[in-house]
Amino acid sequence: MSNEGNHVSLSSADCAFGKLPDHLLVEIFICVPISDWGHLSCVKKHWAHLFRQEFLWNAALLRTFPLARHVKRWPGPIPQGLSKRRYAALYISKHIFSLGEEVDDEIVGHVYLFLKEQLEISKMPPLSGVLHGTIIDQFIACGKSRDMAHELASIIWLAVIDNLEENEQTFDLLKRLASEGDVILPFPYSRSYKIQSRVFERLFTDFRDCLNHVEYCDLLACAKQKFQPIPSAWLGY
Amino acid sequence: MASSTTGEKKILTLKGGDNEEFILEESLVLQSELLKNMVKEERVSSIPLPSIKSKTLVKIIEYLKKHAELTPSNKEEFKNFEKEFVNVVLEELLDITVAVNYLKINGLLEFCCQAVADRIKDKSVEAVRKIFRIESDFTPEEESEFRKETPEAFEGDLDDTTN
Repeated sequence: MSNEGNHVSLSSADCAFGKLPDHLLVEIFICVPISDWGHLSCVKKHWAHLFRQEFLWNAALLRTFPLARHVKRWPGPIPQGLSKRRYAALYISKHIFSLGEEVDDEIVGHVYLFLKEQLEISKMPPLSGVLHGTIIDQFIACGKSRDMAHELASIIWLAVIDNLEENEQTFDLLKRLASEGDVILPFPYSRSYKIQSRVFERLFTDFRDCLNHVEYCDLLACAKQKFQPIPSAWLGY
Repeated sequence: MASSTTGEKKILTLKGGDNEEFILEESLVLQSELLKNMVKEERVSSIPLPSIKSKTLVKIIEYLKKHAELTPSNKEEFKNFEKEFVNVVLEELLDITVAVNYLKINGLLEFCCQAVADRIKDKSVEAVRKIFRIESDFTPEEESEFRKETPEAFEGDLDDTTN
């Protein structure tokens, strides 16, 4: 038979990975720790393109969270989104809330992302009471009891407030949250005392040096009205 | 070609890209979904695999033999064999991976992908490019753009994609 074996010049540079079809590249990428993905997507344009593809994120999702396959879409205002979003949500459920990968666990991650984005990204976020209401509605739509919805919402609020980066944006945000007037809402739409108190706590501890004297006095007056007694750590400018 | 039989063991011929022939027991190739279908449905006894280099095919057949001999008692030995199996130059590892993918030998495919992944993990962008002889097609501006794109939640050492 004729020698048909040398039809491809495999020795040329830039081809080592060129031989691999996209689905194999994806199989390889998802075996690499996700902390390296940023690097990999910078290697070449085609790779960057792959990291934006749904099928890559879907493969990653199912590899890391095999049970996610069985999770159906849910009703309510906060959608499940595509695989990348789901991956991020499950990652948060697992690492921030130490949860599993059932549908209830996944929603917690999605709610966290929703709240964090609403607070961080938008220039004029809705009033926190409105955000809280959306979260409560989401949990109730998913069949949670009112008590459970309220409890989960509180846990998520606290986690988001705790994880806001220490920067000017967060400082402004916390000041605004602290100064929002109290609206009397029925349970479970009322926010828990703990959430309010955490906002003040971060301002009085992490951001103490950023507060000017007037701001400090105003905040303290406000805090004294809401919380009795005031933790001693909050005092002393 | 009629299927040849010696005793009760069926024999099969695989033909590599450079027309080298490999004769082996049919039971061995059943680990490959592709070959299994060919053997079962079409009852062939000689299978041409022009896209696979003989050198690669030799390696794969070696794996199939070892894997067929795998028992609970020689698990350790097999693990060592697997380690050695992928301890080849990258070019060859990629050839094997592509061939295994084509042949649909699922367990081995996962192992090969992990082996390739191990060579790019914990490496800088420049190092990955060097290892794989890839030239960047980004402008520096585009590149810094992409470096910013990594979602915050995925930074740091927390990860569970390797197990």
